[in-house]
Amino acid sequence: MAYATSAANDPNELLDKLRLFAQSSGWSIDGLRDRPANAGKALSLHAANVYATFVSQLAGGDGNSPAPFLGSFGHTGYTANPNPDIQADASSIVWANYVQGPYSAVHFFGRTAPQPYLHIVLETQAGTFKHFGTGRLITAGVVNSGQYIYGNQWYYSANYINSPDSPYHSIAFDDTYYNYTAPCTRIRADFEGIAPRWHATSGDSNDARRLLAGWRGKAAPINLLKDVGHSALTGRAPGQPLWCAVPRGAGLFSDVGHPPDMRFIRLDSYAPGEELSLGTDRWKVFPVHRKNGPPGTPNSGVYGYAYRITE
Amino acid sequence: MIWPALWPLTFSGQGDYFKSPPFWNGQASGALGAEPGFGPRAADVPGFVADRRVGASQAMFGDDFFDRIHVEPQVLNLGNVSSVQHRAVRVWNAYRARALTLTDANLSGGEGIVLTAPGAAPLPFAPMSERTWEIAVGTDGPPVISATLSFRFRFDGFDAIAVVITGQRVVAWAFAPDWSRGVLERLAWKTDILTSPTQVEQRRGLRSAPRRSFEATMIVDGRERVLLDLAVFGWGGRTWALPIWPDVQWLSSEHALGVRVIACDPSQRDFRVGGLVQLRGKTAFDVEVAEVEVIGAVSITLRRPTTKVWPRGTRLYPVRTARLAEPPKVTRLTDQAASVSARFDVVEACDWPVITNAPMYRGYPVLAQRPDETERLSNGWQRALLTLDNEFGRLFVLDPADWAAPTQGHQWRMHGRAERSAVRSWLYTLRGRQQAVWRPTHADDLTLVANVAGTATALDVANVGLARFAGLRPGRRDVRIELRGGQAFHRRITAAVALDDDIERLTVDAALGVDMRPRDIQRISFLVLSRGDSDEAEIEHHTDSGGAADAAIVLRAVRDPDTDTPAPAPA
Repeated sequence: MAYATSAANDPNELLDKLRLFAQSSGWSIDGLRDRPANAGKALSLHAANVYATFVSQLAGGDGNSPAPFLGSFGHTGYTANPNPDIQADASSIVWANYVQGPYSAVHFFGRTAPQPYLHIVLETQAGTFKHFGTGRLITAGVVNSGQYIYGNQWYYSANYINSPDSPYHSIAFDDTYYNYTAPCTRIRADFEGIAPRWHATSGDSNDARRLLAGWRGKAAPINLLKDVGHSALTGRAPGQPLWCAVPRGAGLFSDVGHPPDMRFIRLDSYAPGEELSLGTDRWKVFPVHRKNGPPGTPNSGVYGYAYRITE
Repeated sequence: MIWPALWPLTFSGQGDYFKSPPFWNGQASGALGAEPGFGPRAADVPGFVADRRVGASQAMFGDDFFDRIHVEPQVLNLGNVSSVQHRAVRVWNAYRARALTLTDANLSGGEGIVLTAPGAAPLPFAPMSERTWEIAVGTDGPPVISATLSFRFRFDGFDAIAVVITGQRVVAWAFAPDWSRGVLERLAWKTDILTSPTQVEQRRGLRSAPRRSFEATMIVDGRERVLLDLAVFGWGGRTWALPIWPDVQWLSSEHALGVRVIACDPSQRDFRVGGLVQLRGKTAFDVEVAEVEVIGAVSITLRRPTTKVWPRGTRLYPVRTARLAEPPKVTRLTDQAASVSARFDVVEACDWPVITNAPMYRGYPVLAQRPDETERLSNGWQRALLTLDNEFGRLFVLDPADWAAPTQGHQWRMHGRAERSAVRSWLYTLRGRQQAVWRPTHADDLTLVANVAGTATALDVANVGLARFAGLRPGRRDVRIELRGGQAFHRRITAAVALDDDIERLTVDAALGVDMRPRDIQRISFLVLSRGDSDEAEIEHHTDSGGAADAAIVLRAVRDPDTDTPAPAPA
């Protein structure tokens, strides 16, 4: 089972549903436990050598980034610590904020081969979506691990809630972002003898652990499709692989790969949740947060993600 | 000086740093395969550039489209096949620079399916070329279509690509009924009733849609008689496309071959989108079944063009798929003619909207229409007595509910499609025995003897023993007051007291709002909250739906709590 849709009332129940789905699509479950420090649960699982933990956190945050949260972090191996948040070689947690249940719908996409991944799309209210997940990139070159984790943090302050291009929002696989919310994409690419080496989107252009990705920035790798990736003639838009690159010094960057079965897509003529067929493939498209939301509501314009449904 | 010759020297004085990109060699970037081949690739850079770079081709959206084999569609669900269906399967070699060879295209389980290939295997596919296979599914063959068409590119190392073809073959029942005895339609719901000792019920509908069956007699002669005989002999156990005979209409204009829009009046007939229709000419040999795509106000649009010319006077029926409930009974009339009576069980769910425009009282619709009284209607009482009989003493009898459920028959006579559709809605509202409606007795139960002011809640009526016997219990505590002007009021009696032998004084729960004199009143009937007494209802179609039909049910009172406050428990 590589695709399932489900329902859940709150983040904790969602993790339990995710556990069932991950199991059915071939992931091994390491544990689903309470987090002692926070009101929430932690679900640890792995497929091949991709180990990840999904955590829920029901409290905290502020008006700009409200609770509840769902987070994910990657690590190496699994240790049954009293605190499930502590794992070897762990990355920092990336969060999806304001994942308020009960959810209108939950979509799970998962696979274990050729690249393992778990992509989760939450419809927190009708038309409003949150994305988070983990997996291993389709790597370019020799990239050790290549695990990625992503979430989505919208900045709910009244001045920015409605601007899709605002760098206040931190969204998956996009690096246009100042440090108002935490980074939402982290990728492990070990080189130069440093392991683990987790790269994250960063507002600092001198950061050696930066990650370059996305479409909103002027110099972003796939900026072009943000402006032209939609045919006014046919009403169709192509899905663009979400390239990720890391800095190599001297202003040079190396491509490390892109997440499997996930694309950036413009939604001008697609409805949220619509299924498009491309030959014999089926893709489901969702807005980054909310398609063309009216003033005062989250608005992520026509930016969207497409996920492939694999049989 | 030719400008391009200056170009390399324009900026740097060096030769051009980037050569024009090498011509693309047709290799896939591999983004759709497993981990792509990667590794150092020495880029051909001029010697004066110090750093050497490695690179790999970057996946773009072309990989979602190209460098693979597309077969469309991969699932062919034909639904109900009642005439020859043609479909096309397209195979596209979307490799941008690789020729493929189709080693074979096999059809398994394909009885009654004709496959027309664009050529004999092995079939070369040039890059970016597409070929089409024509599939014709005929009506002759096994009842369930389950075939697989698989394409193999064995030399090129691909797995077989399968196209699954599914559906079921239905055959049109093209014999017209003999209307001298009409057509009988039966609707059967199923209700599970749990009854408490005090006769309060919990009723669960076990079927979301009723089972529907039709009974009719057909007179066939000549070729048609033999056709019917052979059709039932050969295919009697299969699913038939059964025309809904009462909903027949005759086409009023010519329809050429190959049209998709049939001019007709689809309202209040059993047409539905995705369902079937039958066109029938003069004989049972002259018939076509088609699928409905759109239902308009004065036409229906078919999914595919018709295959025959249909002149004026062609019969058009909505169709439901059905099975013969039992082998038809044949009465031989002569060598050449026979009368055949057949009963069909419809095998699909038949939905119908419930009644929406009925007056409501305390949360339930009121069946205010007077019954048809050409036949006598019977009333009665059902009482659940517990009897203990030890065979030698006297009987011990207990009435635990201390209540009887009044029963009464109700009969509809319908003229025209609007009335039929309303009655069908009532039947679907009742859902057999599950749902309750208010039904007046339509009798002169109470007689007003004194004027009543519009603000008063007390009525003086002729003494009929209401205070003594009825005890304000369900079934005899609500009244419908009909005035000669056509107004009707529904009220609950909250108290009754006998003033003397001739007059009782009733108190109702709300004032009527109009002044009433005894002569203004047409009738005061008891109003009974009732459900059907049987899960089955029959509609007798005497003619097609423009004419008359009858339906009869028996209603039985229930003790369902309605929206009033429960009475205090007796001390």
